[in-house]
Amino acid sequence: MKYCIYILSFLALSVSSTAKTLHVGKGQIFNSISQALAVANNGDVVLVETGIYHEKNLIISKSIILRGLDHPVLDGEHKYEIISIKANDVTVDGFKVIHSGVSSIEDFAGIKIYNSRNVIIKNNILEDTFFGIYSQYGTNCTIENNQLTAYGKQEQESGNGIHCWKSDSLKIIANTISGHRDGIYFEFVTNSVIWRNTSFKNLRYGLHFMFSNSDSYITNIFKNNGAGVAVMFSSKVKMFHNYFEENWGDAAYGLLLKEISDSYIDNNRFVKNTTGIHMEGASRITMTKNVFEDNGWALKIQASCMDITLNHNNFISNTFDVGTNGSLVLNTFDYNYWDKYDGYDLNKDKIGDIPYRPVSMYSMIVEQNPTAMMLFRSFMTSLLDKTEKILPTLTPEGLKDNYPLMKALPL
Amino acid sequence: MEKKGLQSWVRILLIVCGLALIVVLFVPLWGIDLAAPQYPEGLKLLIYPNKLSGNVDIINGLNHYIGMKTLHTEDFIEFRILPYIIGFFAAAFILVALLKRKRLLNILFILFVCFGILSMYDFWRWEYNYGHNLNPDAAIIVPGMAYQPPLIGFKQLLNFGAYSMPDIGGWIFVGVGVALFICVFTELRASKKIKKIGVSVNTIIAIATLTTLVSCSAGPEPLKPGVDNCHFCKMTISDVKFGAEIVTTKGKVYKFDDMHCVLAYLHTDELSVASIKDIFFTNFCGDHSLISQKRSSLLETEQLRSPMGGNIAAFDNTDSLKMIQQHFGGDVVTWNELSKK
Repeated sequence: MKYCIYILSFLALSVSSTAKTLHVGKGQIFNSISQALAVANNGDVVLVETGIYHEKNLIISKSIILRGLDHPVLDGEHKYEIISIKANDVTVDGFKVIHSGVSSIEDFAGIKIYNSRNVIIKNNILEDTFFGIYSQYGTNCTIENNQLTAYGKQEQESGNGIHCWKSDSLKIIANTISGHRDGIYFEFVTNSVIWRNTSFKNLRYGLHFMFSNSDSYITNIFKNNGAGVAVMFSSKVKMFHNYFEENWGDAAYGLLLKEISDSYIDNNRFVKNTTGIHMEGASRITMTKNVFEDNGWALKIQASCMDITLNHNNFISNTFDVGTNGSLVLNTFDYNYWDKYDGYDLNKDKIGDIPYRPVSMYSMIVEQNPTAMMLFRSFMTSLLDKTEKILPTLTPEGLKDNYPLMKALPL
Repeated sequence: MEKKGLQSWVRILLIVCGLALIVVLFVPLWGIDLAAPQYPEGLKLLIYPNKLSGNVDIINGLNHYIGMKTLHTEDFIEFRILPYIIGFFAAAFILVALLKRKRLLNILFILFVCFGILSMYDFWRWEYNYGHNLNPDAAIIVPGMAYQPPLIGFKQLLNFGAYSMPDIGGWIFVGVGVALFICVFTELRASKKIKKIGVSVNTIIAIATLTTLVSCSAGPEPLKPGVDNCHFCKMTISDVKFGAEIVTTKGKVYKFDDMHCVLAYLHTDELSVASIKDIFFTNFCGDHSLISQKRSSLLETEQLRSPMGGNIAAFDNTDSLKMIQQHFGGDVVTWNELSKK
């Protein structure tokens, strides 16, 4: 009798601990995902067959795995937020999410995380959504291998691709984003990593940091965005191994830095941008082993920057290597390669014997009067530059590379 | 001198042209030269107003081998009509010069141009008929070959090179045409000088008016999303609901995308307070028009999530503010409080 009681207890325990798989689709127990979500318990898997579902805003309030087979389509009919996640430990995997609502007050998203942790959003395709994937108060969430495309023509009718607000410990990995206002947007986000994403042809920024500290972005491609990449009002940002390409326009920058501090910019490539890096109000930045090639300006550094260290970078085929708006220089430029350097190396130590001043007189003039750009490559500008070499009056004395390299670094 | 009359030098020129046309009656109009190895000095066909001349017999002998019809002055009715037409034009030129009527000058010009075009067409038609309608019993037959001389210029016809150009009479005709054109153009331009002056005056007035209108505008400019940039943070303005502007007493406009940027910019003291004429905010509700700071109500709440974290919205009336306050929460603030922080 005693043994019977033990056996019955074990049987009851095993029955109650079984997780269910709920199938949704034509000919299945559930016709709509809403029904399955209503019935599901924590830990269940909701498996959605291929097809088109008009669900009018799915709300996930349980810890489930929502998985699509062969990318079933969730249609928001241009009216609704499509998936709202309001529970912890949720996975959304393998859906195609289209036609979210558009509003100038509500931030409608294809998939939105509300105050949740350990959410995984992966392998989804989002098309024609206002905001693509949105995280507010998200913690330890992963957004991986999603494909986001939007078709807004005006910036005010377009939201951000991956928008994160007051979140922590996020992982943004291997997503492809195009056509949104900003490809990836961080505001009040900390301790997060952005890795191996491609952000191109967005209306404004490929990547946009605001008040977001202790974050990293590594091995991403930012190409052909309306205004490049912006990192603002942030500190302890690490920017490694990224590509900033073809960001053209009078307010376009490969990288725009404003009011940022204690950050690292290493091993990046800035190619074919109007301005490779524009720095304003930046402090204690280390820039090492970057390549600046074929830019209008490789580097624009305003007088409000302090303690910038620029070592071991290559400056090749830029119209202007460095532009600045003042004569006060509190920054260090050493051991860089400048293709315009025409000094010599008598003692054969591979370092030029004469310091190089990357700011030309004409670039000082253009900084004050942008319309003077019309005179570029005219006889008059050559004359001015020659005159400045003989009788220097405008070039800031302190802005120079004391150890210019004679050969390009193999970066 | 009559207003409708011709200038004296025009009349003299017309008389000279008339006399020149009389000369045309006695000199060749056109020439076709044939060159070949067998005829080192070349063969020449001259076309007078009233006859053919030159090496006509030799050319006819050669042409009969290829089946071309023989050339005889009597075969062309043009040689009977042309002298009278040229005589008519000579008389007409002199008559117009004597009568001094501008209208007659224009009519004469049109007639002369038509005559020239008609003559060239007739000449081409004649060349075409002789070159293509060949005798099928000719000694030399090259299938598909035509022996049409060029209207103007050079052309190779078997072993002969044919060169067709105006002769003295033809060049006189061209000269007369050019002179006539100069006369017509001069008379035409003289009558339009007054209109030109009128047009110039109107243009000057229009330019002055436009300049005045442009230089008088000194108010705020609407924010253009996606085009304008914030003066402080350099970001492209994409959400105009939170935008703002500072207009200086000189009329310069500084644009901002957020209240935070306006306040930060004012704290930099780049603009003195005296030089600021007015500050404008965007109305959060409605059509997002610009409202003066003096007539705006401000609501501050974090839920607004403005682009630069200022999180302040402006309204043109308190009812709109309360409606949004119910939705987002937040507190009412005043500009004086904000600008002191």
